[in-house]
Amino acid sequence: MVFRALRAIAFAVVWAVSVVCAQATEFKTVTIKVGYGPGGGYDQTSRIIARHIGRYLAGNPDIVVQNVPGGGSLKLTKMVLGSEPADGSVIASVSEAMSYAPVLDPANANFDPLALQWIGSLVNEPAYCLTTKSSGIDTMDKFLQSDFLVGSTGKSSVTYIFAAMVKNGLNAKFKVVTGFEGTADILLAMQRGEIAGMCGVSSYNISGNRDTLNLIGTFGSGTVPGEEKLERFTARIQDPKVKEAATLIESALHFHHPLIAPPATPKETVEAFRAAYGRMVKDPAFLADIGKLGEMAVNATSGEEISRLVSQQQAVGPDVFEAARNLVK
Amino acid sequence: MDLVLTAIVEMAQPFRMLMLVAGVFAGLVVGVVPGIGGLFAMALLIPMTYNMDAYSAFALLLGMGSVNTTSDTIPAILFGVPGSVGAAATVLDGHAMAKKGEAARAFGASYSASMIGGVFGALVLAAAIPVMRPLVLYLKTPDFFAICAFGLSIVAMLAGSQPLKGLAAAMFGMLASFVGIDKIAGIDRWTFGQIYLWDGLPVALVFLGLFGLPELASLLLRGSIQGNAEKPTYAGMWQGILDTLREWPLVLKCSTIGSLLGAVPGVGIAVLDWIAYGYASRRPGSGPKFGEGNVRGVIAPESANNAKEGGSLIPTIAFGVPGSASMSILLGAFVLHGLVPGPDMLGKNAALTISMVFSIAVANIVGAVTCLVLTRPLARVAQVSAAVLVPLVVTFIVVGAYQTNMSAFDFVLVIGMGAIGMAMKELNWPRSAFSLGFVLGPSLENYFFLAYQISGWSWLAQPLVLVLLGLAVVGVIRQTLSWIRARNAGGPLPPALPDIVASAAMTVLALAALVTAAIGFPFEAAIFPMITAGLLMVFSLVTTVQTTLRWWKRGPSTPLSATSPRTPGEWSPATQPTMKGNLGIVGLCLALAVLILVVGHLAATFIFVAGSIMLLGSKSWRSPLVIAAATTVFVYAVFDVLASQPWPQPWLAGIRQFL
Repeated sequence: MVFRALRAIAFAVVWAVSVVCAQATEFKTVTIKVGYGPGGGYDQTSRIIARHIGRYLAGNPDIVVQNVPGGGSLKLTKMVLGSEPADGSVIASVSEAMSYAPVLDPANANFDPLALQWIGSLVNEPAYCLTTKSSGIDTMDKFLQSDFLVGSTGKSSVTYIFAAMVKNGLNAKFKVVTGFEGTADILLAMQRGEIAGMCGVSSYNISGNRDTLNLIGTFGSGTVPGEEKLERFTARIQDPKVKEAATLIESALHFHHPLIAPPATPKETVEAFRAAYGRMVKDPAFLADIGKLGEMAVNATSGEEISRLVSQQQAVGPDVFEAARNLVK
Repeated sequence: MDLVLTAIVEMAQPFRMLMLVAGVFAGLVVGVVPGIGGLFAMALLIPMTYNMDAYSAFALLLGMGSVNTTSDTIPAILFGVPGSVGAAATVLDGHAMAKKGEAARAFGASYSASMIGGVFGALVLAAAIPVMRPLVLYLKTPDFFAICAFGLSIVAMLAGSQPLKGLAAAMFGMLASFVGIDKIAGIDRWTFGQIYLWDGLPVALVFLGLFGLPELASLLLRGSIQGNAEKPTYAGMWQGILDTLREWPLVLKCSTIGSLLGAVPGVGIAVLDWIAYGYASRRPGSGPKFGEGNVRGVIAPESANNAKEGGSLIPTIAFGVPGSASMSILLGAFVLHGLVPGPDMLGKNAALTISMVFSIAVANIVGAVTCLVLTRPLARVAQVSAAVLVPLVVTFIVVGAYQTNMSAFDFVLVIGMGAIGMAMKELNWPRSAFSLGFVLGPSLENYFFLAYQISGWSWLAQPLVLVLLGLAVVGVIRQTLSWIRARNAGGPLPPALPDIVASAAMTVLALAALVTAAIGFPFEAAIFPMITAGLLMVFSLVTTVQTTLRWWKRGPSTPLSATSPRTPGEWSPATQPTMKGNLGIVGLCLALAVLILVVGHLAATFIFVAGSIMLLGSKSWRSPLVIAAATTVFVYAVFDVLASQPWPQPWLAGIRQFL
């Protein structure tokens, strides 16, 4: 009798332990925080990810999206590094430029992008500089030697960083206008004839206006299927140190639209997110949803690969950092 | 014509009409509850449209977006709490009418004006379809600057009986709008190391605090919205509708203002309803003064803010440039449904574009009629005891505020703005002028620098810029002349001593802002704040000197006549000790804020509502509990189910977990 009771208790304990262990990797509700306001590319991709990724996580959790806009996602990145819970309940969608924010701005020197846990990214493709057909600027030589205006949003945005890189790295004559609301705004000002070009845009940003624009050159090593291969701006940079700095800035294009988790998130939780992300980006239902976003083509980069790229970024010498800072001034 | 028929046939399908009506009801709920705006709701609804066809999706989204400016007047009129930022101008006269027992009339006028304005906006959109693209391309960046500058000149109409204070208030608002990371140099201005402030002060919280809390204080003192025991009549509603019909020229003009300005990116709903209000206040008509329950002050902003939806779709459809914040979210829906804004929307997808016109028009009609049907029970709220109403409204303001960023700073900001609003209300600093400065400041600065970077100073000679800036200057001069003529008219003024303290404090604040901007910011980020701070300092210094002289001459006791016909504007002399009411409201808000942080928003709602109703003098113990339970269920339904979102863990749960 006693024996039987003991056996029942032992059984119960084993069962309870196994349940508890199973729960450790099981997700309840996961919040994807988005470093930008509602409506933009980061918000839209996050909402589509929220619709699908739950299926691939143990416990099939509810996924909620919350917008935390500020400073081009720098605000959210700082929150993820500092105050967000590291138990798998919060992950974040921030700009890939966060990987070198401390490099480019000494004011951010206290934050370590290597500490972030990278889950994966959606897009790996080059960015362009482009001009309106009416501007007459249709070759890279004209682009570098003509006197005209290039539009950008804020100083920490890719539209500014890549324009400044061309201007400073190749002594181009154009002037960069800052303060536009977004890429659609810049495109409209181009159609009005107020400015002639913009830099740092991906092909899906311009899908509706393709026939009125000249593509001048690219940043990054990837290619876009269906587009002719254009010259890379960095190929023209002579000074090896400046070239290294430019390549450093370009490297973030390999992991556009990344997801991150707080530094202290347990290893197995991060692994679970990475695995789920990897399976999600191959899911036809997910691809069909994301395919609705203009001509966005998924070309995912895994979290491990992003971590490797980021540590490469951080491994270069301080003089290259210095050169990078001067490039995007 | 074929296209119109196609669009109507497409929209006539039951599921699409059902989606439209569902959108309208969602939009009405979102409008009524302060704290959740159409913006947020649109972001929530978009994922629901993934599996719908484009017609149904836009019917749902536009149905929602079109009517939250219809129902946001309900809390504005009843409690003086703007249901969304677009209802702030309606508070001034709408709430004043409710206090006089004319809530039903104010509702009738506002819904009918909303409906006409909304349909008008839809027609403007329809008329713009063929000429949309050239129209949008015609306006250049300098024109946008000139439009904003013209908008700011409306401050002169809102400045009230002490114009210097009006101008100072506008500058104060502009100065507040510069807090955060600036767009040009990318540096942080007056954020005091707080990440919270990077994106500036959230406009929804500023308006909730500025307008909502001060009105609650006087509600608390009055005992009920209406103050007297007269039964509100249903007939008032028809009178309100007749008011709107009688004022048809005003309705059409303000609808035009709303739909045209709605198409200008950067001029949001919070701007254009003040411009419409300022415009209407120039000719108050036969009714009471503006700010004391003039029905024109309700009709003007309400027709303008519903007309905006049609207008702001113009640049969205034609170029994919959102005409307003909620349009930038709608843009996401375009992309999701494989639609590219631009020529296609006017060519092969024109039927869909026309169906949007149809959706906006029908949504406005359904929304207004629904609200009209609800007028009778709502008008009765005017007689409910303040002991019940105040805790309920405080709950929605505070929980709604917390929902914005889920940060304790949300409480600090909304209560702080409430305190500023109370002081401004007592001391005749017009909150309307503050609001207009606050919402226009960033656009003015940004468009100025864009125009300057693009074309140096030559843009000042462009024809439309000249016309608009000229109109602005003429308006200000005319208004200044009328101030000079009326300068010794007398009339009641706020008590001198607090007035001196406040304007002196404002002078010091302006000086501090001026110095920190000059020393700490690079030139392009400093110039606008410095000009604003400089003007604020001059205006408030002169006010301080004036008031001190007046106090010196007349002695410390300023005579306070009850009401005088000579004070235009939103201020009227306080007739009872308002300090007690103000402190009471701030105390209630603080108590609820702490409760939310400690036990979470649902438990806090229950404890707070039950506790404060009992505290404010309920005789039985059962009704407070019933009301508290119902409120908690409602808060749960709105903030957890309808707007499903993660709430931060309350402290108590954190401690329990720790143990």
